[in-house]
Amino acid sequence: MNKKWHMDQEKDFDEEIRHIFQEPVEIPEAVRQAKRQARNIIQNKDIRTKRHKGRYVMKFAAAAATVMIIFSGICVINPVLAENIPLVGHVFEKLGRSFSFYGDYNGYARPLDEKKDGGENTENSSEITGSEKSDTGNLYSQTENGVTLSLSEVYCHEKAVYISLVIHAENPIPETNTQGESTILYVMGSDLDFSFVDKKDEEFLWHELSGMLLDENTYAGVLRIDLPQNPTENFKLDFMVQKIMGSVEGEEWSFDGQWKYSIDVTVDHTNVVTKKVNQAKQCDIGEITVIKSPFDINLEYDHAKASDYLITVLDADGNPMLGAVNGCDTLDNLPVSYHDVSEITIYVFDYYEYMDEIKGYRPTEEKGYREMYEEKAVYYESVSFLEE
Amino acid sequence: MQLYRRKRKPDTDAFMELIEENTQSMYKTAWAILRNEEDVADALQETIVKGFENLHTLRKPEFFKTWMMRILINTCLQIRKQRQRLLTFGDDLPEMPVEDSYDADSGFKELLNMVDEADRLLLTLYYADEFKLSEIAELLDMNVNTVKTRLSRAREKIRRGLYE
Repeated sequence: MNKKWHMDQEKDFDEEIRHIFQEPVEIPEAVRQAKRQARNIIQNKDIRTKRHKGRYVMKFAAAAATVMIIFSGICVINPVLAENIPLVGHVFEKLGRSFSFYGDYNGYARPLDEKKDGGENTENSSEITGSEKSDTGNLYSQTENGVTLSLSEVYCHEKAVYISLVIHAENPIPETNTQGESTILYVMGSDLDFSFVDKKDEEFLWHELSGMLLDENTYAGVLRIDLPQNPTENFKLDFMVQKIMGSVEGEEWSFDGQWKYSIDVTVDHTNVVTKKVNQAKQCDIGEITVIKSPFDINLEYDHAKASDYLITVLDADGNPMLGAVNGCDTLDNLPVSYHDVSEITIYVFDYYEYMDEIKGYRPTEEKGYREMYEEKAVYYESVSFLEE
Repeated sequence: MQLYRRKRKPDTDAFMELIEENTQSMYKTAWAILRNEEDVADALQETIVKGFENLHTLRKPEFFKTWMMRILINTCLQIRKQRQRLLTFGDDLPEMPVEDSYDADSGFKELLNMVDEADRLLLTLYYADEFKLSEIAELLDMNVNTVKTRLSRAREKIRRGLYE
């Protein structure tokens, strides 16, 4: 009897565990998104997969050909702001903090001016869409299926290129996610063809845009693309956007088309400073290179050696410099934004110690970030940019 | 379910339907190994793509779950290996950090927290995925007795965790 009672009890307990394990859990958005991306990858004929910043990126096969209406004129006028504020050429100004890497791009960002840059639409654009150019065919502004995508300005330093743009849709732009002050859209499409890269197909266009809705039909944002290697002083960047996508609560929408662009880019070295961090013996990562531009701080190091570590940065005031909320998804490209970066400190943590004890740390009066970091880091070093 | 269209071209919709049906299992299994949302997302994405690319190796559709789970487990372990923390299937797995967004309300995560790292996957395969002991043994390259012993040990820890 006792034995049976014990067995019944065991069975009940087993069922209890089974019940808990089988209870459906809410699948997080990151996982749902990963599934959607996987589906996109396998749905397209020309499938290639590769790891990119810890996540697969995709190449989309050519979208259905559509009639292209070449957008005339070099400015998109926001119907609400109206009265005459041309957006194109001034997008960085408009965005303010809705762009993570915000700052004063005047003097850095070059307006993409069709007249100066060639005047005629590229033949390729016409070939792809099979459409006719208008008389004032524009290199940087194209309309597909009622959606005009206008590239506005370009800024490039040694590590990344920033392209500001305006999307204007005939119909209202559906709701999409926001992060902080940014409204997030995604652009997807072809290879990113950098003229200085011999081996093509290194990078795909699959990037987040951070920006803002100016009205229900108009979105302004910035596409930030990390360069795959050190660029030549001048280069050409060709790409085709095939999908502009938004997502809210797991529901996606997209504008499809073939917006093709070819941009001449000049690397701007103004106020770009490179420093080396000499590693101490207790840390075997090797050298860390810090490249500071007016808008971002980029860290370069051997990721294979650093796989057990996490590297993070405090600004001159002892505030953590976080990876962009959007615009890029790595801890190695940090927006300068409001930070005082006259001197920064690089901290190297044991990955697990960081995740367990440091991530999410809230400073107290007794122990600020700097004190906590210095106590826990396996190595740290300050880098001054004061002289520059 | 037909996983192939004519001319043996894999049917994406049918494949994704099966993935959809198994998402809960896949998520829980990946979580048991990685316990980090981003890593789990990476693992699922990689598994789905790998699975689709290797669909021709699935001999019978009824083995889909086991077949997919094997890919998933290997992928998860590779992700862990990339962190240079993984030993082998049979070894005790080292502790992984639980991410900030750890959802304490989720019962299965709470139970997993009560047991050793090495037993989490095993528990999940047994209770969440309802694999037989012999299937788990095969999946994890263990003998059945080891699976039994570990299950029993894990169950005891949960009992203590819940009632003591």
